[in-house]
Amino acid sequence: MYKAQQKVSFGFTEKLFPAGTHMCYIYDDEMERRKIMAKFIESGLGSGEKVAYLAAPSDPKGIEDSLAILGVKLPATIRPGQMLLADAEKTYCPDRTFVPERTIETWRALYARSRAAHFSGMRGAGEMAWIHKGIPGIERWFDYEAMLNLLVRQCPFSGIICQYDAGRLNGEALYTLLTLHPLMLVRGQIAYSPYYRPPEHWLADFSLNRAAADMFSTRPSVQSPDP
Amino acid sequence: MTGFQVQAEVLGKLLVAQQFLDVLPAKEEKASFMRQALKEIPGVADVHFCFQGLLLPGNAKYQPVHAQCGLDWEQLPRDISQQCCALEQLGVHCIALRTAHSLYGFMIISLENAEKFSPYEPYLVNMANAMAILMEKRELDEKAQKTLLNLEHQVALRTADLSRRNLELQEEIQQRKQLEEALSKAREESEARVRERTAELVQTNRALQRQISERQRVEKALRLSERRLHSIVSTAVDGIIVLDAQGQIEFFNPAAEELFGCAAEQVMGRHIRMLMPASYSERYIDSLFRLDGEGQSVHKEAAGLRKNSSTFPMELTVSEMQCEMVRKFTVIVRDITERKQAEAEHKRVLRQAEEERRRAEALAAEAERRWREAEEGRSILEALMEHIPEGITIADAPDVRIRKVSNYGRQMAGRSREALEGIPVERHVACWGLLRSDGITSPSGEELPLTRAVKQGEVVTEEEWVLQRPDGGKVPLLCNAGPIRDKEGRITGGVIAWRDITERKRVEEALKQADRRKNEFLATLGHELRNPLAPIRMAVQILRLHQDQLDHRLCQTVDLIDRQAQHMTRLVDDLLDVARIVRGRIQLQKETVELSDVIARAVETIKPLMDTADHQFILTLPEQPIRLKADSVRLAQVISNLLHNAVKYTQPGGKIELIAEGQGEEAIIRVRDNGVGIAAEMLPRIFDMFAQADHSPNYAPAGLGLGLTLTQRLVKMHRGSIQAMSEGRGRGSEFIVRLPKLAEAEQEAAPSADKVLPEARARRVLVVDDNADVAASLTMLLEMMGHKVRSAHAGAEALEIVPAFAPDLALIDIGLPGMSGHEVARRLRVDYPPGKLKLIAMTGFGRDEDRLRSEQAGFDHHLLKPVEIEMLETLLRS
Repeated sequence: MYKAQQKVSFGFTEKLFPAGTHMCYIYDDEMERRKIMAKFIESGLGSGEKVAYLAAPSDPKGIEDSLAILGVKLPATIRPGQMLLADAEKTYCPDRTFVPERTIETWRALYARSRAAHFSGMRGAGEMAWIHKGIPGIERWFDYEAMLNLLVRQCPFSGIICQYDAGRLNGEALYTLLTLHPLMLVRGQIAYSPYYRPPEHWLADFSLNRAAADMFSTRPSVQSPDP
Repeated sequence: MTGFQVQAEVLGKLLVAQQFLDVLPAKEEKASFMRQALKEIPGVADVHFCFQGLLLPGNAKYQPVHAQCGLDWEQLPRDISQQCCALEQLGVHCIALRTAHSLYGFMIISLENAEKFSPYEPYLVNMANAMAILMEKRELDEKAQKTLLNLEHQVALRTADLSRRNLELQEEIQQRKQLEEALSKAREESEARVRERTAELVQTNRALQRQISERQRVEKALRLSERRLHSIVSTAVDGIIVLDAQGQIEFFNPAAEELFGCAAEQVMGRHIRMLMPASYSERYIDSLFRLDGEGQSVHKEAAGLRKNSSTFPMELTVSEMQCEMVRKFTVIVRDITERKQAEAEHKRVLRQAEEERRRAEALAAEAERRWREAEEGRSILEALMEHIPEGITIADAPDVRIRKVSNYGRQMAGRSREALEGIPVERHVACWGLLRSDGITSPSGEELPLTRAVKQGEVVTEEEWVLQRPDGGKVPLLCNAGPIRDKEGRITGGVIAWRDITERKRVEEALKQADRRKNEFLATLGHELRNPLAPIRMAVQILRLHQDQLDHRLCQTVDLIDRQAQHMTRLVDDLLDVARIVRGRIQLQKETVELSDVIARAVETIKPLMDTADHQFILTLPEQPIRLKADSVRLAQVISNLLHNAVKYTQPGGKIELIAEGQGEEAIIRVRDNGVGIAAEMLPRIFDMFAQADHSPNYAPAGLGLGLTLTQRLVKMHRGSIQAMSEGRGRGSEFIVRLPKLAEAEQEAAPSADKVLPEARARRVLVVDDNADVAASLTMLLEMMGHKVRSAHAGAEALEIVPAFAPDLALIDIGLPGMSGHEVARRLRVDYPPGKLKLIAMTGFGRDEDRLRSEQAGFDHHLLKPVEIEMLETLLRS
């Protein structure tokens, strides 16, 4: 049963979060990122939730190894369909364009199916390396993040974590992400963002001035994750 | 006091912004981030940063930086903030980014309300300091990184230098070893020369000693001669005895004293007889001393008698002389004991030499015989190697140097005798053009069968290699090799025989191709047979809905069609399943299942057949629940196949028994009947594909002979085993399935399948299928069930119908021409989320990846054709 009011554990901290938490993870240490995401996935599976992880491996053929690279220890038994591992770029851009509304509907459908299948909840996390490829429609990325804040009010996911590589963000993009995520995770520390703006406010006042395309640089990551 | 107070929210923002400063690597990005974050401070209109004359962002409306700032940064005074004081006069506040050691730039704040801003100025100064410290830290980190890289570079250079020196040292060591070996060899040679020289010296020394001895003898003779001049007797070497004419001893020299062991005075005047053995007769003694001619001396041999009564051989030289006209005899006595011994030794050596000669002659005869045999063997081998239709190579140990290649082998290799014979192992691969069995990669010489046979004594059998001829053609070979050993078992060489297996390979490939084509044909046949079955079964379902309007004969006809269609579906399913298993296309959906539930499901499908044949069915279930990790559908298929088999081959009124029980870590399922049984010769082949037991005329084979094959494969996929038993024809049969039980620790309550489904209500259903028969029959069936139905035969047509018809549910075939079912679903999902329209995929493909593709396209369910009416009803109720 879904318990929207119940506090949820993310695994990597003892702190509990209300359902519907949308968090921005700014990382500059690849090994730290893997540990945190592994805990997030394991705690979700362990508590009987459906977990969707959208990976962005450097080699698209390596998608099946993504969980092993993170170091995820799968529980002895998981239900069919409980763990959804997919290529982030193909999921966000099935036709090589990014359409925020379509992606929001995908999340909504996944949430509905997880409920229909009687999972105890649903959580998701996405790797964002692909947003630096200049894909058509990516200029509306920040609109999508704002729309996600609206979605989690209707569909209280146990948690959604967007992962951004600090080495590939420019200053303005980082500031904008702080206005779009009520919670942020930096160097293992979780904090509420004082810059956060409610989605209605953001979409009305900020959207036009915050096109994402020119904020996401295409320079490679300073990280050098192990294969 | 300005009246404006510091707001905690603003301070919180400044605190968070400061946290993020360290996350951004470049100072330009820090500036960009801070510009955005600081604009939220009351009274601030805009924020810029100046780094060594570079203004960020560059679109400022003023020129706030001192003219020299961008020109000669290093030459500016330390307190450069004074240079920007003028800006404050223009409503611009300038804060230096300074640490204790360096100045990194300025934070330039354009103010729209200086009073509102003033409470925050100290915090901004702190933030500027923090920003400068971070920049200094990053600068230091970069310098440290650079130093580290430099050190690593130096270490790498040093390592390379050490490696090079190491190599030089190794070369030097190698040279020294060679020198030591040369020295050792020279020492051995010089020692050999010393030995030779010593031997020469020993020989020379012996010669010298002989010369010395000779000289001493001559000198002694000379001395004796000289003494003889003075005293013949006293200097004589041999015993000299002078006798008078009567044989009385007149003179007895010291040598004679020594020979006979008695002093001269003891024998003087006595007869010579006293020095002879008593066995000598008087006459014989006289004859010894009688002269044959005047002046001639006589040499005779006789035995002498010592005083101690021992005897010795002696040579007597008796000469007659006249002394003052008196006849006297001079007897020279010589001890010839050593000569006699030498003569005896000489005779013994002669006998031995004779024996040696005879033995050598026998050995020579044996060698001759063996040489003739070897010559004969060589001729046979020559002829064999010339004419045998097989590739044969003979090589010598230890370097596997090829001695002989058969004529056929040379022709097969396309190379001359000179190119192949006499080459050592390291040239085999290149000279023969040998490749591994993949026909691509080259082996090392050590891998080759002949090398392994010669060097390791390995016997190589039936190994495949490839030979590349000079014209590029590749010949697959089958090789056998082994060592050649001498009488002591030492390996003296090796032999390899090989054969061209091109034709065999071609036949094998043709067989594989035929097998692949057969499996493809089975799969295609199954799909093609399945398509027409769907509308037939739909039609039967429609007729059943109107059963009350049909007369008895038509009802029986509908039953007949239904039974045959079900039978046909079962045959096609078996055919498809076997084809899928053979091609590895079946994946089990394993979950924790209760064995009794699975058995109940299987029995439910077969029970009507048993009832029809009036079979007595006895079901024995385990007392304790047995749980398995299994695909419940496939496991039920296994049990129903066995029960179906029992029904087919048991006469009406016969007995069928199913017993399930747990034994240790296994679950045992026995299906037993008292039917026609299985002949002993058929038992080993009962699970083979298309195998049919030899039935009596009353039991014609009903099926393709795939059921038991499929059953066995499914059991194996569950890591289990199946066994068939029968005491013979007419004695019934028994099939025993063994499956691993779920360990106690893994057991959990199997999910209950019981669900109370709500009553169906009238739905609006859209059917999309390009097969007109399928679409029409499904439409008719759904309408009979009370639903409102529209059908479409293409994706575009379906998209046009949906807005006006507003269906609750759409059944969409995946394999539509033009726009696929997946694309139709994706487009519908843009305007119709899952709560608004339920999308169901219909397809003949049921793999995991097919189901995932359907889910990603937006489908809620994925059904396999032909769609079961019960499943459809369930979906329409939910």
